[in-house]
Amino acid sequence: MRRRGVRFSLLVILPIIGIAGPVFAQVAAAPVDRKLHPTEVRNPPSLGTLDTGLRDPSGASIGVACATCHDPSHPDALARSRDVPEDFHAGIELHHGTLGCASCHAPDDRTRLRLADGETIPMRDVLQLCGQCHGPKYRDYKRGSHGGGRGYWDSTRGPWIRNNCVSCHRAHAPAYPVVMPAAPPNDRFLPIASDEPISEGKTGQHD
Amino acid sequence: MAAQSPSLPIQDEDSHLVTYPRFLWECVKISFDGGPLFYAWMTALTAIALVGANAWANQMAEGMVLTNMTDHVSWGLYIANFTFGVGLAAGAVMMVIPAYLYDDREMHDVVIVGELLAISAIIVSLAFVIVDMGRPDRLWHMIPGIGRFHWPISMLTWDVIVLNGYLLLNLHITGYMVYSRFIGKPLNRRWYIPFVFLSVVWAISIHTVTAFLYTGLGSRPFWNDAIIAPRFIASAFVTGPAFLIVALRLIRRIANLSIPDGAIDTLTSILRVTVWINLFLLTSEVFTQFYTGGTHAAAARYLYLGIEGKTALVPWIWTAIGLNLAAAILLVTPASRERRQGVLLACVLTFAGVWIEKGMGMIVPAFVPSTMHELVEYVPSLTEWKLTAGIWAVGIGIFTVSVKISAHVLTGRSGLGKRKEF
Amino acid sequence: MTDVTRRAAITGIGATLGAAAFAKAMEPIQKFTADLSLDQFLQQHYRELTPDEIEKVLRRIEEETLRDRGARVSVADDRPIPGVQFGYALNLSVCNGCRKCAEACHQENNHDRPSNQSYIRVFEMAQGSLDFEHANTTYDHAVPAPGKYYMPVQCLQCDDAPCVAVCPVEATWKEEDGIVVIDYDWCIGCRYCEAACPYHARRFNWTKPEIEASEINPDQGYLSNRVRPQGVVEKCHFCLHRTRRGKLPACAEACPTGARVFGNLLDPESPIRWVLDNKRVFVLKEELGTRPRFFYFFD
Repeated sequence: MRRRGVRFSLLVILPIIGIAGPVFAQVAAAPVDRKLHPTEVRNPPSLGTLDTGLRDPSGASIGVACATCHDPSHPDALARSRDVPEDFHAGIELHHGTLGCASCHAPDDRTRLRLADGETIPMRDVLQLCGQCHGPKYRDYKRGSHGGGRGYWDSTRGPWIRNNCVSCHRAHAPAYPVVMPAAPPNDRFLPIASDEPISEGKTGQHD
Repeated sequence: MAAQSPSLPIQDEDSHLVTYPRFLWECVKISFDGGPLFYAWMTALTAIALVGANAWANQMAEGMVLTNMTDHVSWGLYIANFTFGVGLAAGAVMMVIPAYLYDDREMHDVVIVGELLAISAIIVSLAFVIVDMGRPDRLWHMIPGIGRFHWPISMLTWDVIVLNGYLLLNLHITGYMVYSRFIGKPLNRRWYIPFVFLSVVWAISIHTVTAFLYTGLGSRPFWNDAIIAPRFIASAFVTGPAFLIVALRLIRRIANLSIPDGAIDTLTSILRVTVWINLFLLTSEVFTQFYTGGTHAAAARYLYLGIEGKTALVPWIWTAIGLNLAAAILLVTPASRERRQGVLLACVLTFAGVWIEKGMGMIVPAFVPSTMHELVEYVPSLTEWKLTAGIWAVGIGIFTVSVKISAHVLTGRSGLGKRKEF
Repeated sequence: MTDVTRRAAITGIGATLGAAAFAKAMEPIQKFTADLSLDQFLQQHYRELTPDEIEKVLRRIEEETLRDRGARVSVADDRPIPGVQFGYALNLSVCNGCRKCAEACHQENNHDRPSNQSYIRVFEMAQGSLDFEHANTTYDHAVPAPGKYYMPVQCLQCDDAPCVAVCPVEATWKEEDGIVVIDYDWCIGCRYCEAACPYHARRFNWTKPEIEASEINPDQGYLSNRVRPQGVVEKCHFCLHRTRRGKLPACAEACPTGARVFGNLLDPESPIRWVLDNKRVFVLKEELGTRPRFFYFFD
């Protein structure tokens, strides 16, 4: 009795699915048709340039392109040591693990970067280069949980403008710098903390 | 006290439409009439009330920044006094219970003093809530039907109901008694006995609901504690009798109203027990907090010992404990049973003690440290003290005047009918 | 008879003097009543206003802002987007305590300038402890400091919000997209919500917010960042005047370390969902059962 009931209901349900299926599919497909704003990744102007220490009238630092000096058609040997290069590169402080210049820069084309397998890529693909070593970070970045950005969370309304690795990290010394924070709250009766809490007093055992 | 208003001619068939306005007018007349002591007393209270009114006007204009409350300690002296006032109102029922439940005749004769105290104390409490509000102009938002009354979810709406209900109940009971006496008609039990019994239950409810306001908040471990409601009731039954013993003695001396010794003795016996119950509950609380320790006891630590050199409440709470303990010991000392000064002193001590314990000692520490363990201390500002004094002045004025009116009418000095035994 | 007359006269004079003194004592309140228009006084609860009435209210607020503060602003009424449930997650492994989020909030949401008010408080925490007893919000030294980590706290938009439950006049409620909002024109300023919130997320306007006309963000919302009246409660609203138009909240944009991940919990492809599914996530004071929409995670 029950089995016949099941069979009967199947007879009824199947045609309904048959009709409703395409309708649902259409509805589900509808958002896909909407124009999505592609995510944009910011390429900082400093990418592929060396800071000259000078500033333009707007206050931005002036960089000089690598190709200004390094003619890609006349390759010269790249320093192998981790000592700070002299002369023009004297400002570069390399604090990036045990990496040397040639770890990332293509020896024979200073406008390009070199992956671990020897393949060279343009500077703007720096994400791919960093991602070779920083796998988990690269994965997080791709899933949107690292790197931040601005613009829209809703790609149907506008683009999400994302940061590049080198938007936030200096390639030669990528550790995030120590900074002064924005002003603390100015609450009544809550004085600004004296600058000693770094000492063990406050961090240790509490009565 | 030459307020012998001549008995007015009256026909038995005069409707209430005629006699009730006359009654009200008589009340107004009595309120403004009295001897030099009465005038001096009322002038002093009015002056203090005016200082309070001015402080409130300034607070409305400049904002609550004139108080010393902050986002960290967002309730202070006002809500402390509100809580205490509710307790005082509930405590007044300690005259109603012996009078009606135990049929104590002597208490019965003066029970109206307790009911008038309830009325005055409720008005005081409501006034403290209103001055604590940032936008009292929006009070109408709370009126069911016109505004949006978040009942039954918000405990505050329950409090609004029970406090106003208690006020109306007591206004009805006392108003009916005094008015009936005024027009010289015997009391109809149906019109007040059910209300009296309701008011007994209701008195417990006002303080229980007020405790639930606090205990329902999971955010504040100091309050989130089942013992608060019993503690509130216990301390209410300390302050009510304590206030009434002093008041009855003053009334006996100043007003021309005979106060039977039995009533005062009964109240003293109640007080003798409740001060100890109150201390016992406090001890239970202190033990649980300190023996367990940990972050949840941070507020108790701050209150009793101070944290990180911040000790603003420590003197308050130890004063309160000292006062309550002194009163409790005084009340069981054999000497105090013979000498009434000892009892009077104990009443004053424990009244002050509970005022601190239940106010600054109960409301403020729940905010220190804050929910995120920030240590911001609170000491009331001058504006808060002015307003507090002003509201209490109004409350004491209402109590004085209402006792005076009742005394006049119940002793037959004012009224439409002939003097009858009450 | 003359005695009675004299008595009446004295009483009358006394009463008149008393009334005059009362009027004088209450005089300062005029500063408050002058600011209060009849329309404002009689305004109904936000959720009872018809679209026409809301339109009128928005225009009135714009006019008042222009008149009182000299700033030309536009106040919108952004509604929840169907199919969107907002969620927010913050990466404690990268937050460096720079307070840029709190600063951005301060500017975006037209906060009171003298108190440097913000809906975000950043707690400097002792490493090895999740106990706020060892935390500090007013630090003013280079960050990150050794032995410290940082925990910004703002309204967690709880699904079971204690503040919503306790409000006696329903001036605060949870919207369909999960944001807990406040009708600043309905709040009576009793601060019961402030007592009920376990996260110190709510702020009260102890005074009329002070802000220069030139610094007022003109892009405003009724339930969000319009300049608040004196005597009402406010809190983080996930920048709904931005997020309901698809934009990121101001704090997320301002974060220099990319610690903040914001998005639609119903979108399985969204970064917020990936974080919730793959990271070590927790919420603050989970034991209280408030079910926050704001999550913390570690890498």
